[in-house]
Amino acid sequence: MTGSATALAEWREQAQGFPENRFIREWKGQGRKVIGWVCIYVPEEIIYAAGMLPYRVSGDNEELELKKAESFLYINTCSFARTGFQLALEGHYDFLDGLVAGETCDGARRLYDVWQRNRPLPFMHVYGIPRKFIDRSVRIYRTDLEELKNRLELFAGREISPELLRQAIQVYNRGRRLLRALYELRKMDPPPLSGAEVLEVVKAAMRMPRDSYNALLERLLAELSAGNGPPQPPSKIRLMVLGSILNNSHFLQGIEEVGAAVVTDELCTGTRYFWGEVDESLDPMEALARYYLNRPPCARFQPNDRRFEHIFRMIEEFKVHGVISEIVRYCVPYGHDKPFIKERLQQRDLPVLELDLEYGLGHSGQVRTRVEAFIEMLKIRHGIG
Amino acid sequence: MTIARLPEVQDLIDHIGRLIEEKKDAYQLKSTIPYMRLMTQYFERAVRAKGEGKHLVAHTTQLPVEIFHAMDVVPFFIETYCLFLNFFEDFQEFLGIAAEHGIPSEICSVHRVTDAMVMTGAFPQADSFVFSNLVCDNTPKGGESMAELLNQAPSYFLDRPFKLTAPHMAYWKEELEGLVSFLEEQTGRKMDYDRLQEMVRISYRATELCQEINELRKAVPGPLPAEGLFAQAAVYWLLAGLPEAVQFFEQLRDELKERVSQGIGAVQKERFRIIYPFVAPFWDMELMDVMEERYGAVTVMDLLGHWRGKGEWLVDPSDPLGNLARKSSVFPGSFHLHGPMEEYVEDMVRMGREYRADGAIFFAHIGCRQACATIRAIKDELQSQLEIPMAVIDCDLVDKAFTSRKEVLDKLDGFFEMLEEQKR
Repeated sequence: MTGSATALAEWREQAQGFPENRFIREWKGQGRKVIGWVCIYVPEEIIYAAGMLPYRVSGDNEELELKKAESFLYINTCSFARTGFQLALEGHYDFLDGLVAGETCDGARRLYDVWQRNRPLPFMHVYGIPRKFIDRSVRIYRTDLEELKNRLELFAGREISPELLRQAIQVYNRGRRLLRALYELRKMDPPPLSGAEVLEVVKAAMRMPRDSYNALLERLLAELSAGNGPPQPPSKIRLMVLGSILNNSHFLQGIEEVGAAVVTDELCTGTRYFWGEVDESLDPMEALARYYLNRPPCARFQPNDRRFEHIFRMIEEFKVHGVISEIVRYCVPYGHDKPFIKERLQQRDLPVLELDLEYGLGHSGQVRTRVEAFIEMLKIRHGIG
Repeated sequence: MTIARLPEVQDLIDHIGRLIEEKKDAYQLKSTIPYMRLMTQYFERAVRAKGEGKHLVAHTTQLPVEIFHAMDVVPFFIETYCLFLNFFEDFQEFLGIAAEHGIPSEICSVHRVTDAMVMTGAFPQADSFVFSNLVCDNTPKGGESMAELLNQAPSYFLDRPFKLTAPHMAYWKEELEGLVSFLEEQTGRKMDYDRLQEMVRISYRATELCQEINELRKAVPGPLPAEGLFAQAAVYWLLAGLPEAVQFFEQLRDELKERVSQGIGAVQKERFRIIYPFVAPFWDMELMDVMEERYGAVTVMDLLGHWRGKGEWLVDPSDPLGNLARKSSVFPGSFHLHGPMEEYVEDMVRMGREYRADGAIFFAHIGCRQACATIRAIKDELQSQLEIPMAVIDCDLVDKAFTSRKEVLDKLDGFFEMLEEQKR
């Protein structure tokens, strides 16, 4: 990231270190527990209300050598799952006291399975995620969340009262509103922060205490709103990125370096992570079940129309010129949707660049060439020099 | 791209018909021909359905077909059709069509082929479409794709829960009730629950017979030759709830009983007892014959024939949908592939122990992520608990270009040499 905003600079300094960072060390230094989570259908609020720090298991800004993980996970397991387990095998996740996984996809559930078998943590829990949005799905999902809560209570040695849950929901909702405000700024031309920088900001939400995060994000927003953000190049091609999980901000940086601004996304490290809010007027467990199951869905849910609706809403609201549809190899749910998204985008006369990647890929030469050609085409199409 | 005429359901029927004529005296089991006739009849019903004014339901794997039979709709099990047709045809054309459509090559080839089959009308246009999340990510997403490609045929998605505690079973039963409502809406007829109850009873009888057959397969020498391996799974998959399935299983059971009592094995001299913790080599089923002849290796059990525990699922006869929901907690493949890995691993160890296996072969279908991710755990447990070595053969279930028979046999030569050493 390049920029001069004070809050951003501070942010970079504080959030550096992966997976373990300063916040984790401080948290653990106070004798408190950190719980890893896999997949955004694990409500962080429940872990937070138990007095533990939720931390999203993932890779970061680097494509890793995955040999160790591959001796446990076959080569056709997506590289996201293999990356998570590689890091665990190398001891990078040793600061975790537990792991909670949603059975979102085959990759996620098998990541949990091999972790449990080969590197068990004091607290291990996996549960199902319904694939529908109907009432009974919310009901069974809530049942599973209640079980998670009960087990976390036992592990934490404290009750997760409705009041604690409400407080956690308020803190997380505040974070969601701030992230939404950050995305609102991206509607500007040019946006005050690059897509790569925004991805770093969103990732930090999953790696530090949310109240500290909110405070930092508030300061960043204040600076950006006052026009004190890092300088951005003038009017450019506006892109949206959609598809499989994406953590490597160098990938977005590479796209932006060749003359585009990534202004929005449909990623679980982006809008799908924070869109909407938990209803604070409802019973907290009911509210969590409804929010998590009903926010913009990933590709594994039925029907896929709801996912497509979110994509098209983003395209319209953020005035997108073109779409980059990226799929991590062996990411089956997104792979199946790929031709249908392309078809729908073409029907709207919206160009799409499809990229099949390994998770963690930065900006390789081949990708760069394809992205450059795509952006050139868009520039000609929109008369942008 | 020039496309040759693509095979259709009638071609499959003709293939099976020719096979019956050519090989009727070559099979070891008397029940093999009836099995093939049952398959032919099943696919003929699908071809005739439209002409007879019947409602045709295309559906994905592991669904309780008893519901379709009780509603008097004609089911068409898409993946099984794909597997059967693959026995006779090469699917490169279909795979090419899927690629042109933009489906990534990492997607399971079975689902790429079935998508292409829908696009090219390679099976009859269904009136409605039912799919589920059993047993992997490919089924719900492939199902959704097919539903869209089937000119937006009315469709119903069954969401089978990950765990099977009481509330999850209640959820699953409600999903099945939703399927009944969907079919009632599509056909304009009401479900006859007495009929469903009777079909569930018949289905359970077939389960009991499968268990008897599996007990007989524990005998040394193993009585079931390769030709009967898929029959057991296919008949249950397609015909559960129908009396002809029970008749078939009775015939197979009696035949195996006789062979066991006379000490007749699948091969003249059984050298090795092999289990498949996953599927059979569907892309080249003759491999199993070759293994019998070349190594004296008998496949004594495979995942698709292995019921959990005693396979008990009929608890309250007056609750047919509740029983069918329960069935998926013991049904071969369903609970192994859909649920947590440890239960799958434990059951494979049980399989190795009960069937006195000398070795295991895991045909690692490159498109099957949830199964292949268990390879290391199953291999470790078979070895450490039972000293059963496991070979892993990289393959693709229906893409014959993925690997050659020679390549596979080279690997198997080494594996059986090692087993031979171990026996000495």
